[in-house]
Amino acid sequence: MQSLFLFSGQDSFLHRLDPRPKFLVVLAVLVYVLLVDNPAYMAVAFLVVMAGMWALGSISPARYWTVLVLFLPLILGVTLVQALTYHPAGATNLVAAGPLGLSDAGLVLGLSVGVRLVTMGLTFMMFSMTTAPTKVGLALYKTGVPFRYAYLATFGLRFLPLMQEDLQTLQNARAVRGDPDVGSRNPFRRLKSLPMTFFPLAANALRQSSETAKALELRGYGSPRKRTTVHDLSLGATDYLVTVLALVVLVGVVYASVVLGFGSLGSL
Amino acid sequence: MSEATKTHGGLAEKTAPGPLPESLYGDLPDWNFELWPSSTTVIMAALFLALGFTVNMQITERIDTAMWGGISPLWGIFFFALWNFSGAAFFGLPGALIVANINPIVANLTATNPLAPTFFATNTLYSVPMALWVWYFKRPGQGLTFRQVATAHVLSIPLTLLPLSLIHIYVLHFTMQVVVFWYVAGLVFGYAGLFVAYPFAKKLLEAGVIQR
Repeated sequence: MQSLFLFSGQDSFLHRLDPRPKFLVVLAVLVYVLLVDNPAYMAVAFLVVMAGMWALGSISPARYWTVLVLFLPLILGVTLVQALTYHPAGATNLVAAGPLGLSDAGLVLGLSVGVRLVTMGLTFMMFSMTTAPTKVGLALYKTGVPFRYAYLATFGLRFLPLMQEDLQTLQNARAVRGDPDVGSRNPFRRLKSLPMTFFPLAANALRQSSETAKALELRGYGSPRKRTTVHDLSLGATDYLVTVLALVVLVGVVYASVVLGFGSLGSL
Repeated sequence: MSEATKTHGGLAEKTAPGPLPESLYGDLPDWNFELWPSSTTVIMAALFLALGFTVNMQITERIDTAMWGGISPLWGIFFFALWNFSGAAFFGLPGALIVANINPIVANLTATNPLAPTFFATNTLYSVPMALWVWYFKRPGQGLTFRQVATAHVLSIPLTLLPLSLIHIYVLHFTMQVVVFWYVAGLVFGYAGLFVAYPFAKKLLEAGVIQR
């Protein structure tokens, strides 16, 4: 089964960077795109993230454009809703049909929000493509989440493909017994079939859970002693430098946007 | 005779409200509820429910995207109580938090939706109140009635939709009419989800996979 996760498994600056400062970088970009409204400023953020992934993570756009395309329906939906419903004073309708009209102001706002969503998606992708799923659990542990809960993230990521296979097996079993709703092209019929498939999935999973719990306890899962790990995370000079830079950008963006009005729709 | 059917002088008394079928909407049988259980078995059971939830959301997310561009995860809201109610009711607050937060971690790591960070708040604002409601309603040696679960559900769903509305206002910049439209649509789908989530939890209890 193809991996759901986007981790590219290379060696680059971004791949070597600790997940904690990397998360701060994600946060700084998110704050920027959320505080800025002007599509041109957001496009700059998009290009910077894309260039950063390429230069610092050796990940070219050819590697992820198919994932970005998945955001298109959301962007188109938001742009359409904005164009139909946002009619400020002075806005003109580019297309009109009876009481409905697509306003120019709504289209600009929709486009702006669309670029924002793509930039947000790309920033999350930057994190997931350059961070091994196992490091996520480790980073949670290092930030103070108790091991028995932090480990769940890693454990869940390992078990998710098995769960997906179980679901596929259940759906195949129902299909060969003549259930017409499983795999139907009609989304309502597919939705109707879901609860009946999820019950055996949940019941089997809950039965397995006690066996898994025993196996984990035998390996000291619930032990209160401080744990050591084969792969450890430690912050180096570069990690600290990135942390400081991300914090400076974060504070700077908040100040520039809130106090100076940087990046508003009329600021270009 | 179903455990959910009470007897008075040998006559079976229907406990499901109105025309709802007894086999699906009768009282939930008793189970061992703790607000803060800490055993590994409970944590693992909640984790497996969380994975089921994640698999479920991967399917509904695609359908929501195909139907309305994923502006609001209405089918996700319909189905999410299936897992979040079970997690909160059977495994207390740890179960509620685990089921609510594993799915957003996976959604963020797979970058399937730029609004995925909202799902942490959306799920938690349903599952944590549900765990508290079950703790409030549940008496030792008794299960829960459909009315009790429905009350908790009806009061929790409006909370779960608040983060989505904030995203619609501050990130997508929708007008207030549009925000209200999606909020009401979310309420309708969320409330309808109870009619799937309740029988799901009842069948899990009757199947004997939850500690009684």
